[in-house]
Amino acid sequence: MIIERYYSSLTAVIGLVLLAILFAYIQPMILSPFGVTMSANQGTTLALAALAQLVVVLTGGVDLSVGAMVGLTNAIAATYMGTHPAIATLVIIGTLFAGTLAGFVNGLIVAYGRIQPIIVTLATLYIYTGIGLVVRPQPGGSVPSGFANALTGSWGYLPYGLIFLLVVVGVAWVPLMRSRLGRAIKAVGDNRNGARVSGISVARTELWAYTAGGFFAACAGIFLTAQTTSGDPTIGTSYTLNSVAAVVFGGAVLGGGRGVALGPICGAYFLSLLISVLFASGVSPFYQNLLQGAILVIVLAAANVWRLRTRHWLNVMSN
Amino acid sequence: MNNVSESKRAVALPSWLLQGVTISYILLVVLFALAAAINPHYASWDNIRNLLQIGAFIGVIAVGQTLVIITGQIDLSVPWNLTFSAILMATLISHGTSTPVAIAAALASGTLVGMFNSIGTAIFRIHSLVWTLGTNALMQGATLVYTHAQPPKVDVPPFIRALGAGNLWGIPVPLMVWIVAAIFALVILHQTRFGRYLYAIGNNESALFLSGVDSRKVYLGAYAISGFCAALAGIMLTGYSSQTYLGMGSDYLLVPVAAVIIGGTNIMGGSGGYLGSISGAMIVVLLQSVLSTVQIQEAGKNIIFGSIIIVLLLLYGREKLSTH
Repeated sequence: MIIERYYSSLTAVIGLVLLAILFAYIQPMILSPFGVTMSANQGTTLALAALAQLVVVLTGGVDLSVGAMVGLTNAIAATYMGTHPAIATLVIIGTLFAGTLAGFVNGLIVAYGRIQPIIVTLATLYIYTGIGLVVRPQPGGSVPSGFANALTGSWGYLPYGLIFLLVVVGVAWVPLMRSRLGRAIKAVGDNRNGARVSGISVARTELWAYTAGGFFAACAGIFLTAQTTSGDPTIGTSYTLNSVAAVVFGGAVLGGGRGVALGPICGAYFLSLLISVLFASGVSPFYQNLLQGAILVIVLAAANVWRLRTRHWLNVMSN
Repeated sequence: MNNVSESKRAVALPSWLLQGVTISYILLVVLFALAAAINPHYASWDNIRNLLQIGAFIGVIAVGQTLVIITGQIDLSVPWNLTFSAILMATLISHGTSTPVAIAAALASGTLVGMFNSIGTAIFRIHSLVWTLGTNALMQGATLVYTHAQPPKVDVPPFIRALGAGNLWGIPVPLMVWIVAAIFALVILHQTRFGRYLYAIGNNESALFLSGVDSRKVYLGAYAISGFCAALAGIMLTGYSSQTYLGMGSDYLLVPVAAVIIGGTNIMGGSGGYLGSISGAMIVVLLQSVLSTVQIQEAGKNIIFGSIIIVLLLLYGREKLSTH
């Protein structure tokens, strides 16, 4: 049963393992504590962004503003954190609040404005990037070194970044998904009218799903701040598309209802590791974009061929 | 479902007035009047001509985007498809290829990329949002490999320059191209079987399939046209700026989509049309133009542009409440 539950994640898990083995074969130095930590840290921001995307995708929507929220929270954290630990803590809480608020606004417009999520989040992408630019017109800022070390350091082979991700999953994701709201989120994504007639408030469910998305995006922004030790409101751009790719590669269905966190997280690490592997195997930078795009496209096609094989063409269409 | 919600409306307005297309044209007029009231220069023919010229680039891309969105899909591969086509053309010209051949090659390249989009969406059934973004990344990579990040320095031939910036009898040539493209789009959508299939796919693909139409070919056509339009816009932009550069497509990822949606086409497919996209493109251009003349930072422009799109959609882009 547990295998059935995580079956959709299989592609991403196997892909990640194979890629890690390939990486270790090309570059054995990666198996040092430093190498493991570096690889993990590169993927953690995207993994958190993928969670932000997943909670929205589960309702049947899509959030194009994930990257903007990551950039906005990154800008806020790096601008106001200063050096004093107490202030830094307050700023982290404030950053989480800001991200959550951004998600809340998305949810409010989607759920009660009844506008298509893709176009709402496209508009808020501009708004949040704009606010980020108000907070921090030029890239820069600083963070306490203790804060950066606490998130990006490691204990032997165990990177703190991975622990941070596990804490977010354990404290926020799992309780959310196990709660009444979590079940409502999946129900709404699976069958809106079915959810409505069984007494679930679709609008309220969507509102809180987007709000949760904002919270996870803020977590990604905070980790990114620790990783880059600076703020840049436009740094998040690539996270929007990559988070969607990670979520789809991780077995969640755009259209809603199905998906577990494991797949998208592995998908996120897969995508970020891919860049390192290409870099390590000495591929010219000009070819890296091309290969990255090609691999993404091939993987998506291959993952879907399996789905097509097992279904009638008409079933495929209604999805 | 529609009938129920229509009859519940307290004030009976004529139904044509409530359509997105009509509202978007009313909005366009209101916005233009506001802009002209603040700054009389807006009403001058020079400025209108300028707006129409810039609107042509978005409008041409919106032809393909409208077709694709009516099927319920989206084409996010425009930026780098456009850039690659333009750079391909410029490179061929710099190697001495004649202008018509170079233009044909660019259009062919764009069309092929469009067809590649339909392979993923129609055959592998991957969500077009993801697949076309993948294509976009692929074309970005292809452009970098092809140019080694150094777009060719080339003397843009007069014909291409005319396509992007020329004037004929006082009317901008890009506007003429746009008019031709618009007529093409309207005829395709409303006078051909292919056009009816586009709407049918957006409404219910299974039903279309069961009535014996191979919907994959319909997707192929829509995406091929979209790719062609992207390449055409790339050629026009090359003429407009007299050069090719790597960032030339970056403004065209989401703006054409916004134009189509503001014009009243449903992003889920099945309804809408190109008539609305024309006013949508002009609304977007007008907003961008107003925002670029007022003295505010880039940040403020982003915030205002995003907010206005949301306000416009709140005005008329709302979905009907489900009544069951």
